[in-house]
Amino acid sequence: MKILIADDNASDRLLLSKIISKQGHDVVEAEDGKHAIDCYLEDAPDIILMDVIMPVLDGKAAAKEIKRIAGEDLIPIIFLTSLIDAQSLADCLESGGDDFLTKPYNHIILKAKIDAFVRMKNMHGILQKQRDTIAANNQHMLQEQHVAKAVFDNVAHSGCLDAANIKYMLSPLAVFNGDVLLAARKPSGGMHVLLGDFTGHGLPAAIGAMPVAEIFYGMTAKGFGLRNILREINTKLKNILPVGFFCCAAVVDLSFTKRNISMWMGGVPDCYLLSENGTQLKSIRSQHLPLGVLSTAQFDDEMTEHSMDFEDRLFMWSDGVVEARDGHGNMFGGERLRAVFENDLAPDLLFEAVKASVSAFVGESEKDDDTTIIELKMVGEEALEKSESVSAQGAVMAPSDWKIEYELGVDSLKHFNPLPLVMHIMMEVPALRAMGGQLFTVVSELFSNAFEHGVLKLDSALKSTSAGFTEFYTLREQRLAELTSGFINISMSHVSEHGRTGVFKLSIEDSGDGFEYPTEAYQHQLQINKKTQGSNKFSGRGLPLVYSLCHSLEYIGCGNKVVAEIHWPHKNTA
Amino acid sequence: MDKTSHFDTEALAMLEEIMEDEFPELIQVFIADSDPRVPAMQSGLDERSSSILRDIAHSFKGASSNLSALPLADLCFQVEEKARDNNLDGIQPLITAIDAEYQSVKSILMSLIK
Repeated sequence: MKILIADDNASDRLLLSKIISKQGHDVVEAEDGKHAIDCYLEDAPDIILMDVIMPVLDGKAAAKEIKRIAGEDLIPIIFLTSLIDAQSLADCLESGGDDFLTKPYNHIILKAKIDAFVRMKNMHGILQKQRDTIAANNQHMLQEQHVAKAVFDNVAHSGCLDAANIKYMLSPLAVFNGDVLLAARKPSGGMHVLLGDFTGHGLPAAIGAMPVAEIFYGMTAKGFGLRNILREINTKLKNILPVGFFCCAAVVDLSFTKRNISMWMGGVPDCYLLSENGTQLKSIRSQHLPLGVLSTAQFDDEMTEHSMDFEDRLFMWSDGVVEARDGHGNMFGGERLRAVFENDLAPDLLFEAVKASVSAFVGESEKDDDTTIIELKMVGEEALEKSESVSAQGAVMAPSDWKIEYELGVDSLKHFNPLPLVMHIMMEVPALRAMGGQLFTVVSELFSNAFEHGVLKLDSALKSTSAGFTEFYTLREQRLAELTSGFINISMSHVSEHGRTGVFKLSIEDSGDGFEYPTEAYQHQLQINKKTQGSNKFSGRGLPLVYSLCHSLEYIGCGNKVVAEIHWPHKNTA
Repeated sequence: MDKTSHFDTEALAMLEEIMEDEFPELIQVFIADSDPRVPAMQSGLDERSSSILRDIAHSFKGASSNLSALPLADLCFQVEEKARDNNLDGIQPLITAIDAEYQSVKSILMSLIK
């Protein structure tokens, strides 16, 4: 160890220097306080022994300056003094000294003190090194988290959350958000929204959001219904999450045309449905266990229906909102939340009011959970921008010339919906992907015609009255259960001219008796009807709509086979 | 001269042992430092400067105590106390006593290193 002795008294310095050298330390000597500071800077001693009363700059002032320069480094300063009253000794420590040694020097005590400070100094060195290691590790970890976050955000992207009918706030506690908010437009129109809150927060909570987002976006784009998507997510989470970890969720299937929502809620706080221009408030309670708790067999995908008029709003939140705490540890709570809605505010202002109310309540106190709030407004679909373009083309070359034939027998027809699979095959062609919504309409209309009117032989005329409508669906159930023979054959082909234009051909044949299909003259009439929004003789078969989307639509034979051709670039999408 | 009435002899022996060959140097440095101190205290008193008196007495006290000249250290302490309290009465006799005590201490120390 290198020890600095600062004392203006030559004989005292000499004595101390001798004692310390004999103990095996190197000695640096200074004659006053200013000299001591210079020596500290130049020789970097490990311990300083400093006289209190010295000329030029006294020991206390020198000690203060040295401690200031040292900053976080430990430089023990032992005051040398012949002061003996308690107050003077206390003053020494007060001014930044670590200990004192009274004259006359006792070399045994001096050795013990120096040894003690050497130990402390070593310990401090280790602590600093560990602190620096921890800081470096932490820095490294944060950097890794930010890189991981970029990947994570690309997977669990926010879909169509920027749509005109959505307001939302995501406020993560850490880099990663344990809350997840997903929204996607359905190929058939309408929208799926999922608000999820994983157990805990930060990375361990966020990691589960990746498969949820993959499934949610992937299956929605392929035309799967929300129940199927929920089942898939639940099964996935049940498989990957450790016991005791799960995802509370509120999931909405929003239909702009039917103006209603189907909801599934598991383990989330009550949602609010605000209607009648803000005068009616209905709370909707969670009726399920969170996702990832129950096995596939036990999982309940029952959804509740709520009608929503234009301008009606649905508010959903994670429990971070209800459980937000103020400085005294009180929770924001459901009553305060409800009070915001009972203030007769204009519906347009409510979202901001909820945000402001929570943030005013929490004030400066530390957050302890992720907080997420979303408002969904019912609007006409035309108020929304065109669905966001489907994700960019993958690295694999897309198929351009292909055909496929797919025949479903009775058992498959009873238990399996082939539309997602069919859509999936079409969506491999980038140009068709861009027309996903229209194609879905064409395929689903033609398939349900073949299925309901062909295979099940249901009369479309039934659907023209509301009583008939009910009868139609009763019969449908009954005939489906009793079905013993029948098939639907779906064949598709696609050809492309240098990737600039293409023709997609879909033909669907069923085992039914066919029907008296429209003549060419009638088809011409359909086109006029389309322009004039006129009557629709073939209600139940949705043909005018399908016809408008196709380049040609042709019934063959007795009417049990239909061939649709779709050309791209499409005149309506180009 | 009687060493025991001017020194803690045990401590002095210990000091000699610690300093080894540098003991004579220590004595010389002490004497060189201390010789001007009595005249300096006297002029401090003449100027009625309690701060000069206090600092010199404090320094002298520390140095002499380290050489185990405890009676000398004690006289210096009395001056330091009075000076600190700004009470200059009765300091003159103490300076006279310090002068005499220092002369004894000095000659004993000198005899040790001859």
